[in-house]
Amino acid sequence: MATTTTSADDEILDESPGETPAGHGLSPVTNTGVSNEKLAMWCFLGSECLLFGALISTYFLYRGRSVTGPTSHQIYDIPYTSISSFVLLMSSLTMVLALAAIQRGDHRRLRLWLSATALLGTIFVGGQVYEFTEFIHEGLTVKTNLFGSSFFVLTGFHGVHVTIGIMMLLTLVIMSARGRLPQSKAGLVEIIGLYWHFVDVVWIVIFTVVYLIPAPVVHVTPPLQIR
Amino acid sequence: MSDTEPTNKVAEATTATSSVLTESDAPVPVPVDPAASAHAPDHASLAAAGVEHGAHPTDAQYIKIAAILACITAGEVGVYYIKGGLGDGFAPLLICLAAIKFFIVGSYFMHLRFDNRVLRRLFITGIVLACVIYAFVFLILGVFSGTHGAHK
Repeated sequence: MATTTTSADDEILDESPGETPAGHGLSPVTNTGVSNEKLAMWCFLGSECLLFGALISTYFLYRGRSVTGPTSHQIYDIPYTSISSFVLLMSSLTMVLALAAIQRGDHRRLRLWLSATALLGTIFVGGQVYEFTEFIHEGLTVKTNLFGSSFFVLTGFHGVHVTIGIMMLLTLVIMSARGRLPQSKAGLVEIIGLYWHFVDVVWIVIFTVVYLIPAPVVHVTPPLQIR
Repeated sequence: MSDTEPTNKVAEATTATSSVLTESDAPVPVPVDPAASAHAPDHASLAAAGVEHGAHPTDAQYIKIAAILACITAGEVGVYYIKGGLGDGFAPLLICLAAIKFFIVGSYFMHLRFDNRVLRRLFITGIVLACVIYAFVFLILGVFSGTHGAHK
């Protein structure tokens, strides 16, 4: 039965690619009532939870265990990072407004809000690059200590995700400008929006557990050096 | 009855399903090919599977939600600066504020509150799995017992 359903779905796609019963521009009606692409994006986001969970756990394991400086207490600039967090949070607002715009068929506002989201994302990534540069000038690199390694890997991975999101947003802007993003393809904006909101949600966690909750000072005895 | 022969009942159910799906997900209804969608689930089974389609917030409501998120973020930063006065409650309070923000973004911006229950379960499964796995890792490494990092 399931096989037959799949073949029927394939027939719809073959007949009218891009136009579907659900009007998403994605896959046709499925047994779950959710488009395959949207379901795939949610599965992907579920797996991303595990990835970032691993990175955040690693940061926790190494928190406060660096035997050499600089440490988080010495180099964090909380007001600066708070502004970056605010910028990323507001990009989620512009993203959801872009989705609402395409669902209304307002393509001018769609491009406006998508561009605003990409701009805010770029400001965030630019801020992160500046922060990394400052940290390196202060002597913290990925090889300096445990804090440096776990911090740069965690926030660096997040920055890469934001950068990929910006590229996807700009692709949507270009598609819309060329008239290749009709209202029936609002689902495409929705699944990229899901990715963007997820990146925002991950930063909410990182901002709290990495920046705001201070690391305990743990005196670790370094292992004996064998000469 | 063959799988490829849609009955009137199936066709009616399919029409009902399509209208439910198009109401919230797509502003422009696209005609359904009855022959191709003969195998689509009926409305009752979709409802049983947890398909929920509520109205999404308006632009003004989204702006209000973003304002709430901004206020919570400001609150977090404020808590950071008065941490001395909060004692042991400092970290749990920050985690609670972050959880509220996480919940708001997930529910309203990611539409989990309005979308199919399957999606909510998928995402929550990922989060719960991550929490359980890493809690075990912390237990094994002795993070909770304070033995982590001790060199023997």
